[in-house]
Amino acid sequence: MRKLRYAAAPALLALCASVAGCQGGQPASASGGGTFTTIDEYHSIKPGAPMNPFNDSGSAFLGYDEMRLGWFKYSPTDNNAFWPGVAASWDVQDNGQKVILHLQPKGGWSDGKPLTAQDVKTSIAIAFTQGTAQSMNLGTVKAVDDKTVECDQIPGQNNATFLHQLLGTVIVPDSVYGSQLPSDIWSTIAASQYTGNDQAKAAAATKAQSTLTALGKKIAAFAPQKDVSAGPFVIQGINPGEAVLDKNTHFYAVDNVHPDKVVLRNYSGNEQIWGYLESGQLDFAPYTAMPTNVLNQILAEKGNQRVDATSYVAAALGFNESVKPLDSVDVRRALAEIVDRSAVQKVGEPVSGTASKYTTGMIDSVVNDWMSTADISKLKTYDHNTADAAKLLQQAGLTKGSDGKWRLPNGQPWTLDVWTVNGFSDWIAAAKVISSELTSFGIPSQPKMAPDYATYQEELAKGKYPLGFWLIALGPDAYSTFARIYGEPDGYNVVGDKVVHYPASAQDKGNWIGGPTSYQVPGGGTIDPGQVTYQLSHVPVAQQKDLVTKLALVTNDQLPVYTLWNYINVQFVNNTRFTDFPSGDGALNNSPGVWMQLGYVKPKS
Amino acid sequence: MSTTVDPVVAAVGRRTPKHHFWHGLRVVMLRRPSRIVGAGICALFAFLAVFGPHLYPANLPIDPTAIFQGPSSQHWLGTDFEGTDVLALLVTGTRYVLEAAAFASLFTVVIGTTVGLVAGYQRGLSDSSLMKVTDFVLTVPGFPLLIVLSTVWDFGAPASMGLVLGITGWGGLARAVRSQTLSLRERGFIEAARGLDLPAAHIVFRELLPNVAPYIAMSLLLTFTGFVYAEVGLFFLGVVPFTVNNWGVMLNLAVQNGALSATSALSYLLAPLVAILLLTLGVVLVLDAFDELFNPRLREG
Amino acid sequence: MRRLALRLGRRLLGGLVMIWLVSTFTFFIVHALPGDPVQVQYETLLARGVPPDQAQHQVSVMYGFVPHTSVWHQYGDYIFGLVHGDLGQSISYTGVGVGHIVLAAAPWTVVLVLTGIMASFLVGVSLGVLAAVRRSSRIGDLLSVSGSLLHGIPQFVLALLLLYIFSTQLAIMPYGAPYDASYSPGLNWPFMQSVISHAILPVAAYALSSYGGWLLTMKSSVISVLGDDFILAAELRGLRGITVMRYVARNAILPLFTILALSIGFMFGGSVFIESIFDYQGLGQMLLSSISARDYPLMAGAFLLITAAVIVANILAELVYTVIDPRVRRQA
Repeated sequence: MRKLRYAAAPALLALCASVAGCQGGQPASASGGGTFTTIDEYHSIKPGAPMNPFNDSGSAFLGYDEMRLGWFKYSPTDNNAFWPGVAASWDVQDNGQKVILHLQPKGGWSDGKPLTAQDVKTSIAIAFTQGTAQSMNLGTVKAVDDKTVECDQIPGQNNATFLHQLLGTVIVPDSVYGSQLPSDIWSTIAASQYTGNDQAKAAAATKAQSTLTALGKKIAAFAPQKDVSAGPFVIQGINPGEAVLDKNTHFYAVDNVHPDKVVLRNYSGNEQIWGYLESGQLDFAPYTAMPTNVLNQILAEKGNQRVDATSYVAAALGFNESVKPLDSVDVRRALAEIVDRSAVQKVGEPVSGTASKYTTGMIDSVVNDWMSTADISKLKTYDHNTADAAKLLQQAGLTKGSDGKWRLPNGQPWTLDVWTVNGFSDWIAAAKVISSELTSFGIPSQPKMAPDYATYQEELAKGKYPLGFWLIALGPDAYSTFARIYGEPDGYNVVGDKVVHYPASAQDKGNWIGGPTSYQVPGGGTIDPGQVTYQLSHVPVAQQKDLVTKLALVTNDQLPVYTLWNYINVQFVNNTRFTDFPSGDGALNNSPGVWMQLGYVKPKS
Repeated sequence: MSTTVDPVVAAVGRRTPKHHFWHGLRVVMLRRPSRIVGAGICALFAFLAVFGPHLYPANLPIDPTAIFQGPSSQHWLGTDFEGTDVLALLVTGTRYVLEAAAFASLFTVVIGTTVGLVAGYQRGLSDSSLMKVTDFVLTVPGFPLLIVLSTVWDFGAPASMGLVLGITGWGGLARAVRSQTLSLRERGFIEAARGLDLPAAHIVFRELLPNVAPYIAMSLLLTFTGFVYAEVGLFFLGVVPFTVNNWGVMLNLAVQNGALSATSALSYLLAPLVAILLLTLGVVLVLDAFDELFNPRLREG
Repeated sequence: MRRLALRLGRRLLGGLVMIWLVSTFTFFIVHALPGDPVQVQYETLLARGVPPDQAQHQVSVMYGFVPHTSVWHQYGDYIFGLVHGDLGQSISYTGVGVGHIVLAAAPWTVVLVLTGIMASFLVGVSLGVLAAVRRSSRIGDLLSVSGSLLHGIPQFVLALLLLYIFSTQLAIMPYGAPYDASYSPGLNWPFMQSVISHAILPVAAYALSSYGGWLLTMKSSVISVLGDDFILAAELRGLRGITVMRYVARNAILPLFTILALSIGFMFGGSVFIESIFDYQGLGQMLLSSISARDYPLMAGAFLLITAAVIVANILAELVYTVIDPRVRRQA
């Protein structure tokens, strides 16, 4: 035994030495179309993860081997603008109540089977087990013929996002997932939709719902033996750290797709992505927050090119209005003027951010799309102005002591810490700037950190943070945007089809629930922001302008949040191996897999 | 590893009068200049830990116009991602690191020595039960445990960091002290003390303790550096929230801000690394002296 | 022999008690954790542009995997499952068995650390003998000080430096995956080569940071054996140089095998830094990511596996020691 060990160890060392010389990295790229190397924005590749799009850690890659009925064009004002995916086209009838899907006539799965209406029906049945079909109020699904599917909303519902959500449905092969569903799945789904007063039927509905939930759990954990894809690529090899995908020759628009292979790298932090970029290994890299020096280093590498797209996200400071003196709008406005947004952005998000112009709850670039010039001119800009801030604070009853520090109306000293999350380096850096600005203004402040995002949310919900960072404007559509500040985190919950507002005392119901439910709109009238936000999900896009304008005006006036910067979706492409990358927001906000479906990305000859 | 591989072979059992000890220390220290250097390094860090924070304002100034500057006459070690002086960060960050490690060492010594002495001297039931506990502490892998604990424990104060490090780290010392006590127990002077019916507390703390003290002192230095690495590591991994500035936080923020990717931030990344290396060097050199002082067998040959 | 079996049986029982203690301990720690895995996932979905209502529905499946019964009930279920070899279902992997996930990650840790331990053991022991023999010369001093220094440098410092030099600046070493996924796993040369080239840096970081420990231990072990009577006797008998050294080395290395067995036990938990720095997805990375996702079952499972390895290694170490050292065998 001892001998063996002596013998094995040097052999092992020799082995290491013999390969140390040979360079690591990729094998020679396949002939012709070439290998496209990138990382998947949404999935790091985890050991033991199933190749299943319904699993939260699953190895399924959107646009490459995970297909949807259509691909959203990311228009802030048209929620229904889509490119064809598995559905080649669709007809909307009955005022949006009915949608007829026409599937790709040439579509096929990577195992050679044709793509049929049955695949779509199975996928939609799975959507019922995952809860996604319920959220769009989907009622019935009929296969009209082999390539045509009819989908109807539940009668009486009028969900403005029906088409949007329906086209976002993930389509999986019936040959793989069909066996996971019981044969009576559709009667279970029908039973689960009963909302009337018949007690027996209601009981049956509850039972059917729990059957669906149980099925959903089973399907989420399901691990298919091999990947069967209707997309342009299919997984050929995968390990914890890397996935290699080959071109799917049965893909309906296979002639559009030029690369032969896609390699998706794993990452667990931004540093890895930067490292790959700096050595020129990635043909595309999605957004990462990065400092300027890293940007310069990346751009110095041959072929690397920066591509900016609109990011429908903004970083803001949220005020807990149940904490004095933040309940006073003057105090919030004063704080907005003490903080110098451009200095904050310069340190916090120097590359992929622009200091915000208006606080409207929306990102700045869509303000023009929604609001008239006259309304825009009513917006306050809260420019950096410490003299005016001092005036506002005095107006709110605060006083400045002889020691240069501000005191609350009751004479108590005032300190205001800025809360962020451990590991969110942009927020942390920004919080340092903000607290140093506050401190030098005379409001002692410290940047504080929650250990992680999970704890941050929990403590927020308990109202522990008077002032903290918050991502807002998670759009692009108006409803999602405003739901971020007048939605669930703020105490507005949709129960049935009504909005309920919880008071500040209702712990765990939301993060920022101290705000008022009635706002004076500058220029006339009052609104309940939560109700108006909820209306946005039911009104067609054409009629949303008025509601959006009102919400933007009150947000700007009342400052429940204060927008610091808008993110820029900074992405990188490398044009040494491939050319013809898309430009423009719609495509850039989708994954490169979708670009390839649309005919972009050609090998350089 | 540091708890299992113990480079120190301590020879104990000789009772050394005090003046003899100081004289020996001087002789041993002066034998090699490197040992003086080591002591100097340790003294420097001790100085920084005590006075460092007083050398700078409580909130270090930031300067958005001077981000990631290289070393210059104004900023000897350059600046970080928000334009703060790296040297200032390093100096003010020393206190937390060393204070937490000192607390941890204190806990380790108190718990480890007490458990080891009592178990070794009393034997029997208290020995076996104390050793069961020790085994448990030794078995549970320390660093993963710290990671798990970091989620529920607030590491903001050095003492609370030190407490957890100490609680997870005293097993090795307890075991070593016990085995030494076991062998000392059979020596003449202990048997004599027992024959004189001296109280157990007297024997343990007045007779046994001075004889294991050299060993404890040496292992203390090693565990001290071990604790420094562990806490810096926790901050570096980012599992502990950064309520304070210290070397680990610097490392983490340097990496997060692209120090591994961009050469302009090199001094920001290297500063805490070099500080750790320097501290290690200092401790190793001093240990070298201790080793010779307490372990005359090494002097032969 | 019977004594040996009895001793082994007692150790096994002790090990089981230990595993029970550790799993109980982790269970309650994990339950004291603030934060909700479902909320984490909900925010992730929103940040991806999923509309709020849809995101809420989408996390409902995940919510189904979060236990909602009383703590004691959950504890009962957990222990019952453990006894049946079931580590529970992961939350962040929506329902995939924890056993399956940790077993998928464990091999990569084993490859990494086992190679690292072996390399450092070999280098450390050989240099340790040299350092002991030449302990009064300059080279002995140099070896000892370099050994103490490298033993003293934390792993993450070495790993960071290696990564910076070889992967970022020179870009000649791959990282971020255990092997190139275009090769099919198996006993074929391109695959093995890929595994090795991906493991060199992490293994080197591991070996460099730990060989100093072996060196110092071997050195002091050799020095103490050199003073033993039987060596003096051998020298007196006229045996010289290399023959005596073989005696010495063989006797001096005995205690090191126990430490070797022990350190193999600690390997699962010992590579957190290296895995995290080189983005190498073994158990350590899994422990870290399960914490940030608040995936309690996965976290408990990973920690339990890490601890169980130490316990098993402890028992093995004692067995090894009993087998190779006749003095202990007689005492037993």
